[in-house]
Amino acid sequence: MMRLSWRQFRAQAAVAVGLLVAVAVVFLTTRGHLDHLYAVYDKANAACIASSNCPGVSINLSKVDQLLELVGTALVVVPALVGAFWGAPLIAREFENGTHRLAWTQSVTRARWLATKLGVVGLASVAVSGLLSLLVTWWSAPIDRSHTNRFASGMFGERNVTPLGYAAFGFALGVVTGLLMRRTLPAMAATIVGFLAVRMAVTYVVRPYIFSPRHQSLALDPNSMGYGTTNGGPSTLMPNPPNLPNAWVYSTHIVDNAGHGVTAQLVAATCPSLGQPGGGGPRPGSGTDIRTVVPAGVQSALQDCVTKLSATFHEAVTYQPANRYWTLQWGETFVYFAGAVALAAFCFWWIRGRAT
Amino acid sequence: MTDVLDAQGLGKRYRKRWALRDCTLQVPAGRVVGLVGPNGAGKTTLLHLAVGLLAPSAGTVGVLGGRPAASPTQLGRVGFVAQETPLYAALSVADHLKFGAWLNPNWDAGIAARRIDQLGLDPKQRAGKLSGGQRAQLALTLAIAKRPELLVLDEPVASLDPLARHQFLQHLMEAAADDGVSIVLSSHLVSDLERVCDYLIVLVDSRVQVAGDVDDLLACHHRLIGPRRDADRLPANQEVIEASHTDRQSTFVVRTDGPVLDPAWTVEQIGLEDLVLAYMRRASNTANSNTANNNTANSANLGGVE
Repeated sequence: MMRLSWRQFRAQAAVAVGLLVAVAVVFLTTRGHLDHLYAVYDKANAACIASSNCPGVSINLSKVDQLLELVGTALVVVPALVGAFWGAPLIAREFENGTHRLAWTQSVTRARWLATKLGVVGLASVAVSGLLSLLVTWWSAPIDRSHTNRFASGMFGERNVTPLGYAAFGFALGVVTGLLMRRTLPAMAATIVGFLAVRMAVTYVVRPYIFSPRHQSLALDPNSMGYGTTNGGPSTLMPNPPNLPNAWVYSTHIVDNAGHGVTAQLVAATCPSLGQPGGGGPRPGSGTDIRTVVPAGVQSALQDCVTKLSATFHEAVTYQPANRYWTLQWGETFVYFAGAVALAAFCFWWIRGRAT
Repeated sequence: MTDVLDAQGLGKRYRKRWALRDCTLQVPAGRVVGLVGPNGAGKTTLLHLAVGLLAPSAGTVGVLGGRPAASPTQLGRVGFVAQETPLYAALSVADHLKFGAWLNPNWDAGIAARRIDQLGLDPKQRAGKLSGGQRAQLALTLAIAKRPELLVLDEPVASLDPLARHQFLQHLMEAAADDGVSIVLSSHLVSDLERVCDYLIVLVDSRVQVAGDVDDLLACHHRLIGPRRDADRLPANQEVIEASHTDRQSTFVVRTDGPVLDPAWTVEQIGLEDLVLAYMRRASNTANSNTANNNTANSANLGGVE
């Protein structure tokens, strides 16, 4: 049965190996250049920070480099493609051509047939995704080093172990979709849509809650507090991001001890001079950036205001600390693997005496 | 000797529709069984139940004394050629033989190679490029070379031209003669089965109408022609399968175990095709009158006449 599975899969496997080799060659040949670029950047950046006036340093990324960065991002769709091209046809194509009647009447039970197919192609899916992730993680290491948040949605799922879980799940989802729809092409389309929907839902709705976040409260810092508005609302105090390097910060709020947030009205009442023409603060609607140079008068008005408010208010930060990166990586990978196992179990249940 | 096929109250339902119901049959070993009935009668359903591709909704089915597809051993004892003889289009003839060898511990590579050679098939040819007749022959080769005790074929010749049809059935009969393998094959044409079968099952409208040894069936069915009379005036041991009347003459197809003694009748032998047609017409009349008034004199349980 193993040999049959391999015989039926080897053409697809060859395509995957070809693509992997192509990506590997491109990455291996360009990585040195990328390393050099970032070494230069790091050096210039360090020198800039050491100097008294640092306007910022830019990296000389070429168009090609930016294009290559996209390859890393493309890893998002690889599990969806694995599901569509390897998972969906696995059983749907047999149904479409009636060959399941040939396969299931040989001296091999249906359960073993399914187990072997799922095993061979499923392992290949995970392996391909894993190798690709390894390549991408290695190649983009210099880029990633310059980012402060490895949890960012464009990076967390495209590096290290999470792609393995995605591939297993995408493949199993494809198999189940093919099993239920019994037609290859619609099943492929449904797999891609379904996988991306699950992936988005998990990224934005499930991931933040797999491990409960930590909370931290900070005293209001008059020197780093901003003032402005978002989306055209009334101007209020804008807390500065806390100093938590590489952490995944969910939210930063200014609250009192009872947990009530600071309101624009309260800020206006406490500090009537803020936001008035000539009275201080950037103009409403302009947003705030503490790095922009503001007139000294404005600055001190804001500082006074923050000092007054800090008697009752503090900054509440909800976040995942940087050292939980691997816990979250494995946690999410586990969630997806568990999903894949559940889908595979469904296949076994469904295929017992039902389909013909 | 264990029955090749033993069905007790076997039924299969798809949602609300019964594809097969109240099927009770015992088919002895060593026979060539023809399963005949119009398209959509439930032949494929019965065969799929027998090879374990389907699970029954009602009743039980035993094949060679075991539950279909219950184990690799049981699977190995039954060879199946599905309708339209599905094959892997991208795999070559040789690949298919390898596939058979990998999946069947009793695989006889010698038989397979000899048959492919006899048929003049190119081992490197892709299955997708084969003609209908060649596909059917390759599928039959796969089923024979696994050395089954029972060979089940679902409409194997339906899509073949007369020459290929003849050749296929001839090969099938040779295989049966060589191995003493039991065979069940279905067709919607009696003429396909007439030459090869010694046992017949007539399946119409998801019910078995009649089943039995072909010689026995021919011996106990007669066509009676005589002066006009009503069917209910025939002796109790003569079951009327079909009746037709003109103004002055009646023609009956009857089933009876005893001789027909009434001198008013001209008794004719009935051919297998006419016999099957008589059962098919009765079944469709029953179905029609059932829909009309939901009750008829003919609606007695006709399944499993053994």
